[in-house]
Amino acid sequence: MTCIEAEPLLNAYLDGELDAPSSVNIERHLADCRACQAQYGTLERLRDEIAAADLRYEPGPELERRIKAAFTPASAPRRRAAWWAPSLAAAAMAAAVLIALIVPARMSGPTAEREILDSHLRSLMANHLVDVPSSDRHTVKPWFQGKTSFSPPALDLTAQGFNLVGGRLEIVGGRPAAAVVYKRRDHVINLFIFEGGGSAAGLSQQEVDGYHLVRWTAGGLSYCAVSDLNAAELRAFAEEFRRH
Amino acid sequence: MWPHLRAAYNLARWLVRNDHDAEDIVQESFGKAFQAMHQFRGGDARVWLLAIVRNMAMNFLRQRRPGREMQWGEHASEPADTAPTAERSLIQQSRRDRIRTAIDQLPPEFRETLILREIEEMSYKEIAAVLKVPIGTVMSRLARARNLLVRELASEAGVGR
Repeated sequence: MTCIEAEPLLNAYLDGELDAPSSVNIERHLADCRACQAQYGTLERLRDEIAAADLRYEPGPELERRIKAAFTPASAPRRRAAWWAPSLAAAAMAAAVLIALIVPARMSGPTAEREILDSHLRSLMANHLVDVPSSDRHTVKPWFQGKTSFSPPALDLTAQGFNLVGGRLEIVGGRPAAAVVYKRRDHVINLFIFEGGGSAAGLSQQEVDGYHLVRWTAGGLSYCAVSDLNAAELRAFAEEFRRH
Repeated sequence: MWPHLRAAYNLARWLVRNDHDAEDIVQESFGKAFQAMHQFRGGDARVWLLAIVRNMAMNFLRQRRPGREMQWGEHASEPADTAPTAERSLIQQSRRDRIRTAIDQLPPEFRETLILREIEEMSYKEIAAVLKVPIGTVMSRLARARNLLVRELASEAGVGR
């Protein structure tokens, strides 16, 4: 593959949109082309910066009310009312059915993963994401002192596109854990840190119910990052965390 | 439809670049979506709704007198920040503003493609369905958009606007 062939594909490769053979071709080319490596690095940095910049515009709470008011039979022009009523009712019904389907659909998995994932989901649902809200690692790290028997690292990964949100204490599967919380775009990443490491050096990755988990051990601690973020970006998070 | 209100508003807001017009466009789009519900042939409701929002916004931009778009006064509002990021440093803040400004300056076709990819995290296939263009066009627009952004962000001086 030449640079001229590779260049237009770099974006698709970055976005995980290439099929396996093209990915392999790009990877081979990247391995020995400095110019394309540099270009790819630039694209990665841009993506990380955009992710960290938190660019979503949120609608005000009155917008939903306003739209509902405009399209409900009571206040809509009489001629129109007939159109909305059935579709709104149908939409509400569909939503109810969907919720009913989603909730019991949770499957059983290996206990440890299950418990970590449950803990992740609880933190999102109960609106109890953090005990110590702070984007400053010098606030988050000392907060754990005296609360855990080990000293969990809280790293600043803002430059890599992962914003530190805070920390929280957890009991997962009967073991105390420090949860350090990051965000990328709208995705919450719970990084659970436990005392006691293993000898395994690499990252291991799993998927449970559409959520991704990445585990590793380092310095006598074991780590498990869990998120609904896509597998590639969660892995990048783990790699950045390990590197720092 | 309501779960897609955030995505609808975000896309409209990035395209028309002020809160008021974005709200009107979202409201009209929901109206149109409810009205045309019988035409919905299954598939992805988000794609379907965003295609409506996108058409409304593009028509609005076409009709709007040139120049009106550049009302920067309305532009200062920030998205609601759910994360407790009060301590966000000034440097970060200005970098964020620069990224936002650089995206705002992209032509609308590039801007919408980038927003759907980077904020809504849609696949090329979904983006192609929203914009009603071939997947190859999505790919080339994204590449152009990113190249323009890289150039713009590199050429700016360190001071945020």
